[in-house]
Amino acid sequence: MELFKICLHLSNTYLKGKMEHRLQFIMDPLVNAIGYTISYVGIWILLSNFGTIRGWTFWEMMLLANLNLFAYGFAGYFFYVPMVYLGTIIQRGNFDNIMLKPMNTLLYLISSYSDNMLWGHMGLSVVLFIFTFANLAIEWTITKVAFLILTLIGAILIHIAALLAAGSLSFWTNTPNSYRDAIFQNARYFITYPISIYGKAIQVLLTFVVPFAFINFYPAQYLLSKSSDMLFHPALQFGTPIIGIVLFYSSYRLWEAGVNHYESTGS
Amino acid sequence: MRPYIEQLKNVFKQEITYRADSLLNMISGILFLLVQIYIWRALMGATGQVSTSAGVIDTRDMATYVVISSVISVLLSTTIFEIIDDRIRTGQIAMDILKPVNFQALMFSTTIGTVLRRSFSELLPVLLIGIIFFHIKFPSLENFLFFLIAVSCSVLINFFITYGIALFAFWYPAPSWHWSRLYRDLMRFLSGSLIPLWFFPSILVQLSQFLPFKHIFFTTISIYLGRVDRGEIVLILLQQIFWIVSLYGLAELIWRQGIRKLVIQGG
Repeated sequence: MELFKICLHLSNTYLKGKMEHRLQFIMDPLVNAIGYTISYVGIWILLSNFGTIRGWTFWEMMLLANLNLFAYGFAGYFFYVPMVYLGTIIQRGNFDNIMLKPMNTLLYLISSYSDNMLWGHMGLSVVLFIFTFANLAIEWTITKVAFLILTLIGAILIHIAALLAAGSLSFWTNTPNSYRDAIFQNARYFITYPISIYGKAIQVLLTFVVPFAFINFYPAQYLLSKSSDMLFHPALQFGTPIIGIVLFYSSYRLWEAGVNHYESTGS
Repeated sequence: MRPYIEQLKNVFKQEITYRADSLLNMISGILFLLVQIYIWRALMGATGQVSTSAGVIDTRDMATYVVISSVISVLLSTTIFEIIDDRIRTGQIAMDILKPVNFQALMFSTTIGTVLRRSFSELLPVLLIGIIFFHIKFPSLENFLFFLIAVSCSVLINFFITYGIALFAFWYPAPSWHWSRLYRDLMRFLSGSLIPLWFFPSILVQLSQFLPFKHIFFTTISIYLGRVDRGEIVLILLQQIFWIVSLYGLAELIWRQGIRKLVIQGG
């Protein structure tokens, strides 16, 4: 509880500092939300011409898009800016200061730099979730609600794992974070559409190598009771939480290895 | 002319410094192309064609559209947003206007340098993949020549808009990536770079008549695809010239106002 208060205090300090620049504070999330809205209008135009894309209707596509956007917004709020900053912090030698703090280094870093830029993603996705669920005839049962919550947690963990893994490489290389994040950026773009539209190689890649398809494609099949567009095995629909935990654990180990590496260089 | 040519050469030579950047852009560009082609294939389904206001369009037409669109987006690449933002924020701009070179022309030669650099690393791979794997269509010689003129106009239209918006930094007290992102997202959508205007609802088609954006991608690609006759081509080129002249004037106006603000503030 005490720890939570400290984190909240750190986070508030950062946000207050940012609020000094009121215009930027408002525009950072707004610009992101507008960008995503425009791309969804694009999807709407396509589907108002063609009806469906491989059997997926507009609102089913919105379910895909929003599972991804919400999970990315949530994960990004805590990890995006801290991981981008990490490189600068290390290069300026300020990481020593963070290691001296009497709390978990990663927790300190994310509490101190969580940036409201990602509020746009989250806000837009919550609004769109409401419209999406209103337009989709999903029969909600206790099981499905529990499934949705566990899936969202798993999806958030997958996004966190990707951001954390890319960020942790700052301990070994000084290339900008955007380079290290590039592979995940492309994966995020790929899963805007149902992965069944791609060739087998890309499907395998997004399921077993960079398993971003678990963020939206597989769980959406369960929520929509879709039996037409099955890939590989139906059990994959329930894989999101497990994949999330495994990936998060792995990338946290990578982070720890990075911190150890930093200590051993003794800079 | 000398200083501008030198600037162009300098920017072009940065290739070596930005090798990782070029490679990542190349890979992302190719993946982006693949996603687009898969989407159109999935949308058109088994028949592989769709009838539009511009006649029947098949998957090969759309593959061509997507490849030429990717080629144009490489030709539109520019770094002047970051450069101008940096110059204005640091006050360097005050030194720039003392020099016996035209600032706008300097920014233009910078842009052409970037375009030439990225043409080798990004335009050629995309074009080759389009020709080898997707059998894109080739235009008649006459249409190809008109296409080259239209593309040059696209580059100029985009340059003057970008330059004008970048100068907002004189007044805008927050990071100018807000404006570059908003412009990019909106322009990419309204210009038909992803979805041809054939598929747009009529209200957006009408709106686009009053805006320069469609002349950056849509009309230019239509000329390449031979979807417009000789009379329409002449009309398109005249409209492009109209926009170039107007946007040049507008950018000049913004520049003068910006400099006046600089002088008043005594920067």
